Amino acid sequence: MHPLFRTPNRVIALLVGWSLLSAGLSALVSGITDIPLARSLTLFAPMYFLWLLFLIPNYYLCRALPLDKGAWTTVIGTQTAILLATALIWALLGRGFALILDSFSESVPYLDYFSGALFTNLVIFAGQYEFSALLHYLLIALQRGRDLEQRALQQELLTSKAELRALRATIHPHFLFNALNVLANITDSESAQARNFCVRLADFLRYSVAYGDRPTATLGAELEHVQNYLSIERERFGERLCTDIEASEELLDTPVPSLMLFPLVENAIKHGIDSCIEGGCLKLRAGADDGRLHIEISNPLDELGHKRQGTGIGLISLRQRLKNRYGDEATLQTCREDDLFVARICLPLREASAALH
Amino acid sequence: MAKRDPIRCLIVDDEPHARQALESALARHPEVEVIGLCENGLQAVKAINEQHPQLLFLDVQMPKLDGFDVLELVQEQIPFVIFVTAYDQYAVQAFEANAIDYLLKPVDPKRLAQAVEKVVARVGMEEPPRLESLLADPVRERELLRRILVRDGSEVHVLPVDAVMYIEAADDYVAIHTAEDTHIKLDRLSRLQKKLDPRQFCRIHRSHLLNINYLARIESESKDSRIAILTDRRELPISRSGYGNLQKLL
Repeated sequence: MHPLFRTPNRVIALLVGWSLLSAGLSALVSGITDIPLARSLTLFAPMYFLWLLFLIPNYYLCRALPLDKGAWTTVIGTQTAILLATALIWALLGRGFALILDSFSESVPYLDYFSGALFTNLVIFAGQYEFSALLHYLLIALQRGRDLEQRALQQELLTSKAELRALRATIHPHFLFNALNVLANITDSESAQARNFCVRLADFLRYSVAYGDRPTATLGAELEHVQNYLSIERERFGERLCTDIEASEELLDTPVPSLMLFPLVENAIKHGIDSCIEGGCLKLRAGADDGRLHIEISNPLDELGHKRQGTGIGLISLRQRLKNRYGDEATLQTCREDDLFVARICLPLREASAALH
Repeated sequence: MAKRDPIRCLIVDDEPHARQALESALARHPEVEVIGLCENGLQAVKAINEQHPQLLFLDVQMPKLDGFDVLELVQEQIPFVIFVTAYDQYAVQAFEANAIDYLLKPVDPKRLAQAVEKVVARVGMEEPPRLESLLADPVRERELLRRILVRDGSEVHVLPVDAVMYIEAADDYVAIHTAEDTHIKLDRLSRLQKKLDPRQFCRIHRSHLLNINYLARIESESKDSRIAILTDRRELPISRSGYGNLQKLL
């Protein structure tokens, strides 16, 4: 909607202001030409008021023809063509109106007045048209700035939400209980393994806690994080869990949103492999082509393996984070392929600088 | 006290470390003898059916069949159960389920000794707890089933409720009909009905609970006698009140 129509007060202010402007313009034209003021008001004020109907829709034209795409000739050409067309329509309407007025009072030559002042009026109209177009472009730019700001704020909120969720997942009683349990069971028999387990757990917790300070991590750090998580779970699952992770060496420094992989991997374990009586293999592949990073995580899934279905909140919030950060440039898709559940992330290798806040 | 044969027990837990730890802890208690380790509920059902243990150390959270599912399937075959769980949210449930005791992981050796003592005392009394109440799982009573568990000897079938065409009452049993098979389960139709989605399952007759997704059409023979024709042309009688139930649902 046009910003002037957003509140009733604005509409009233616009109508009053425009009426005054129409009257003022009529007086001005009466001064420039030798049309008496009363006649000028009768003939021109309604016609000037009509300009509003031509100028308001210009907002939508301006939105459809943004300046930042660099097609200046298209913008100027289209705007000029529309200006000429509307001027012609206005002139014809005005002529009709003058004819009607003429038929009411034979003594006043309204049509002559109209024809005489037509050039002056068209110049004023063109000026107003250009002024309103500039104003609209300015408005649109301001609005876009506000939208960007809002998006940045939203991103920040989502990031902290993700951080909270990740923290909660790590210090989730079940996770900690399970880890402690494993530790208690292996300390006696395998002390070296127990020490190694503690180191993994500490690394895992550290990464999750530190997340608040960095919205961006490298793919390498993300992979290490999920590998720590998987090594903790592997102690618990034993032979039921196997992992197969492959990422090309040159991609490890790629910047990615931190804690992007954890919710997917956690899902794969909690709702996927843990639902299968024989367990299964979690497969993660990271590759690039065409300037885009592709990550695929797949795991077996037994839909009747658990009494309850997952809520899918982790996936929804990750999708939202990607959208806020990359717009339509990044995707997260999930699907069933036979007995497998597959999640695919695709995002640009280099972020557009505008999308970073 | 006269010397008795050791109590034969099974350990059921999906985590290898947990099984080993419990087994080695029980090695210090000659009054119990571990006759087997099970990695999941399916193995447990099979082992219980074949080895008839007296005591079960039963993990609650396991894939496919959890601890409560295992009990549902072998209710008449296992005298004593000790739940072993990492989270005490199940503790209350376990007690309400009349388990002889429950242990929290990591298992405290002292608590284990107490639990074993309790079992030894009860075994002497030859009065196993009423297992009917073991199944009164308060959390699950409120939740709709996504699947129905049935057992055929040592074999367990997990039937998705969407594949169930209708369920028929037969004495103390119910016969669960899918397109391919019929499974017998020790349960009451009214009890099962409570746990199924009332928008999907309709009691069309005192002894028939129909999944309306398999209803093709209704034929009336006379004013008060109607027949449900299923998608595979099977015919089921509809009682007068059953027709009322159907009308409400459709």
